[in-house]
Amino acid sequence: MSVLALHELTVRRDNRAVLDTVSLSVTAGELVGVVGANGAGKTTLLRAALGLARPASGRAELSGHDLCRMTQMERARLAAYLPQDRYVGWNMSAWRIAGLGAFDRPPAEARAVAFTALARVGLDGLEDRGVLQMSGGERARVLLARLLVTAAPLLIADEPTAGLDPDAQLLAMDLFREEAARGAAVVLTLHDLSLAARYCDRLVVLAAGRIIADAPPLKALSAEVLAEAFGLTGYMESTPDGPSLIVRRRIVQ
Amino acid sequence: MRSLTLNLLLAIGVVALGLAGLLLGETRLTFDQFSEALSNPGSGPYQVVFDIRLPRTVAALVVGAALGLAGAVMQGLLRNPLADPGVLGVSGGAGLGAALAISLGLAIFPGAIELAALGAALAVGLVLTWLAARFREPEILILFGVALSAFLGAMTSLVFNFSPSPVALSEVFSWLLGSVANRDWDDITRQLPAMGAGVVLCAYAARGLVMLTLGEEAASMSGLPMTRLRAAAVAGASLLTGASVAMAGIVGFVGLAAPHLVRAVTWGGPGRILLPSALAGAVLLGGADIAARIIPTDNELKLGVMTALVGAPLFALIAWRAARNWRG
Repeated sequence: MSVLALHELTVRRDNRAVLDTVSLSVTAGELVGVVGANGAGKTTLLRAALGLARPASGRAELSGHDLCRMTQMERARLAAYLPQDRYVGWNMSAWRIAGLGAFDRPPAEARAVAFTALARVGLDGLEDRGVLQMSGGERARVLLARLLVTAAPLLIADEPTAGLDPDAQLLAMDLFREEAARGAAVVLTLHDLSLAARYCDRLVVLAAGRIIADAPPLKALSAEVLAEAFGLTGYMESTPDGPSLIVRRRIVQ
Repeated sequence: MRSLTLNLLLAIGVVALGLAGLLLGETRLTFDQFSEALSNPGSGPYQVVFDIRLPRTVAALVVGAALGLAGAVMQGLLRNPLADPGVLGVSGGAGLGAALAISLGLAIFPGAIELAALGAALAVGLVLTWLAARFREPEILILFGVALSAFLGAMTSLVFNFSPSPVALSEVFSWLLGSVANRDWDDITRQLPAMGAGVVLCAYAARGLVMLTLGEEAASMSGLPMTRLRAAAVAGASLLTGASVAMAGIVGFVGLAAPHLVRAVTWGGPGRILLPSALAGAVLLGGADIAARIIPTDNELKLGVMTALVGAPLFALIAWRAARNWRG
């Protein structure tokens, strides 16, 4: 059964379809990357999948349940979200921020899972540091830890590797793979196509609000798709360390 | 500083100011007179200590705590360190209600001004609660609040403009400056139900304020009923502010400064600063009231004037320190 299913979902803004009759299904254990140029509708797709963007038509289902008929708590038990902006309003300690992913568990348990998640993202020893005293990359990792703490069946993250150094990017993607291995369905938006192709089971390519490819990475990122979605001529090359994007040039209209 | 230590120190401060509020005042009492006050109900010293100073001190502490709590809730809800209970127009609404009641000559009925102030504050609070449930972006709520404050301020000016007598005008002006002088137990107990409801609503909303630290979208995905919690925060802060204005007039700066004073010595999420902010608010207003009593002036200094005079430089100092921290 699909953990996430979108059925011909359309989202309009100012009479313009920012997401146009999109259908998508993600099953447990899958790591799916959503890629596309800026403004293609990636964030809108994630938000619509979580009920944060109101669809003009179509519907979204989480674990077979209609999203519109769910309570907020039911939705939270099935899906967790890491937004694109790394906003933290007040200077709370790293473990308290990470622990917000388990606010409904007893305090001692929430603290323990927060410490474990912070260790997983490489921040052990910084649990008591204020997040506003951390670097942007460290703060991003704290928020990633908060997502991991939820242990939800569906994890959705909007550009989780943005602003991270190369090592932290690989660490984050390794963690998403681990989450998929424990049975979670993981959906990420990514801009690094090489990283996306290397880690994801499937890539969904968006262009102008429509899905133009939904296939395993090397198939999804064909020369035609790269041209249509990104305005690039290039190709994906298989290397011993995984697929890599070779860009030739921009297509000037 | 640890939360427990801070709360303990502030609680000691509240108790100390409470005692000081009984000991200090315009009339100097000797040790013997204090003994008489304790042993002889109905005596002159007893009336000074228990009928005049005690309710006045309790009113200052209660109003300070209510404003400190309301300020911390508003700053947490709006995620804005500049927010205070007045920012959304609740104080302005209460001020307008009181001004109308005074200029219409309703002051002859006991409790009428307070009732008008609380009623107007609750009406504004209801509008704000609806807005908070309708719009989740704090910026929109602040913009509506600024517009509402400006409109209510203009309406209060209109009351001044059309005031039939200079006496009523002076009375409105004096009331708006804030004071706890001559408050009796009735003045306090009349506002306690609204304040109690406000405290309960703020305590209920605390979880939501903490989650809002992550931003609106992450909070709304957390599973908490954020619409209800946001509405509870606005309703709670409005009740506390409205009841405070009804009890003591408009007292500025406490709601803004108390959470900042707390953050200057400790750090943490909006949930952790609620109790210390309430205690700090009580300390600030309790101290300001005692200062207003003992500073020798022909007319006693108004509480609102006192808090602004002392609070503004103190606040500037905190902002200076905070700015240095922000720059790193």
